[in-house]
Amino acid sequence: MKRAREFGVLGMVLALGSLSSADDPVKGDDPPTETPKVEEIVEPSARSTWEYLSEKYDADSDGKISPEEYGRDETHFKRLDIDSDGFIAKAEIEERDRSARNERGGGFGGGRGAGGARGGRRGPQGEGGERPERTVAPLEGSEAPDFELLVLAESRRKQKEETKKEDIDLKGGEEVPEEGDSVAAPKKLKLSSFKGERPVALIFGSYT
Amino acid sequence: MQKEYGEKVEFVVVYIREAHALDGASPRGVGGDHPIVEEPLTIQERLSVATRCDAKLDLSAFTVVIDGLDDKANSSYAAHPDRLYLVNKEGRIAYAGGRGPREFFPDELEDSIREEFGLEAIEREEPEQREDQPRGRRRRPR
Repeated sequence: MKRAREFGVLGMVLALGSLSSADDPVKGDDPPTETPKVEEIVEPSARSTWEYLSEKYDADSDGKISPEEYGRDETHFKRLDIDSDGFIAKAEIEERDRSARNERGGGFGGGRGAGGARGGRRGPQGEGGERPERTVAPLEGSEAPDFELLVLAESRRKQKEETKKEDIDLKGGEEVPEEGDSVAAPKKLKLSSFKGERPVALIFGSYT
Repeated sequence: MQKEYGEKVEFVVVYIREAHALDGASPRGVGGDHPIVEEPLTIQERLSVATRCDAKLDLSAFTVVIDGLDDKANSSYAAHPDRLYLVNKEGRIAYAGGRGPREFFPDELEDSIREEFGLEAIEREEPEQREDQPRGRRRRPR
């Protein structure tokens, strides 16, 4: 079992099960809000950032990635083009990974925890509005800010239990789908819909 | 926790902006178990990464929702990179956890859930301070 901490945030809270999954290259032009099926999503097999980037973008395999090969936006290109020579090169990416690992290994000095990087120590980085500003948390006792967000998946444990209880007769013995269906209308969840019903524990986090 | 309190409390994972996308504001070197993630530029990309996360970490016990690319829920709750909250039945914040990873304390969430339902508090030992993971200030000192 891998240490929870190394999966980033959510790993601290959750047990680390893993499912096998198939291939899905991440593209920006897929139809929006269609929930990808679990079988189509893959963990990249690359073991380093450069391996991942070169496999994905270095079409002519010349050891560097030009903006044309890259295809994503300029801001992110600039973040990866560390020496700003107009190319994303193996050396600079590997160097960046190396120093990131060293810094991590050195512990959390000077307030630079895993979540606390301000970008200054990493040399030229894309600035601007991509990073969320440090806002102030709502106080206990105050009204919880409402939101209405796209649902990736509903609690499948609940679904499973409900299915068992009701003994639903499914067509052709198909299993209840465990991931979100790609149905026409993407489902949204409104926080305030639970008001008067039950409390909600909110777990904010991301994969990395 | 979800198993124990799931009948009484809705557990919702709000998937927000990547903390350490490889081309994000604070990339980490890939090595060991850090997932390789490019910063999602579209909601579809974010959905894909969330799905990977869902599969890898087995979030099946939870309802998982995705914050929009405007990071609205993230900002409203100052959630980056991770944070725990409990919203009570009246729609008010019963518990606001500290900012993760240093102030991310699931047992505080549990304590506040128990408080909410008038359950007896759990006796807990003070966990050891780990050298490599110094912890920040607790919201609910023991």
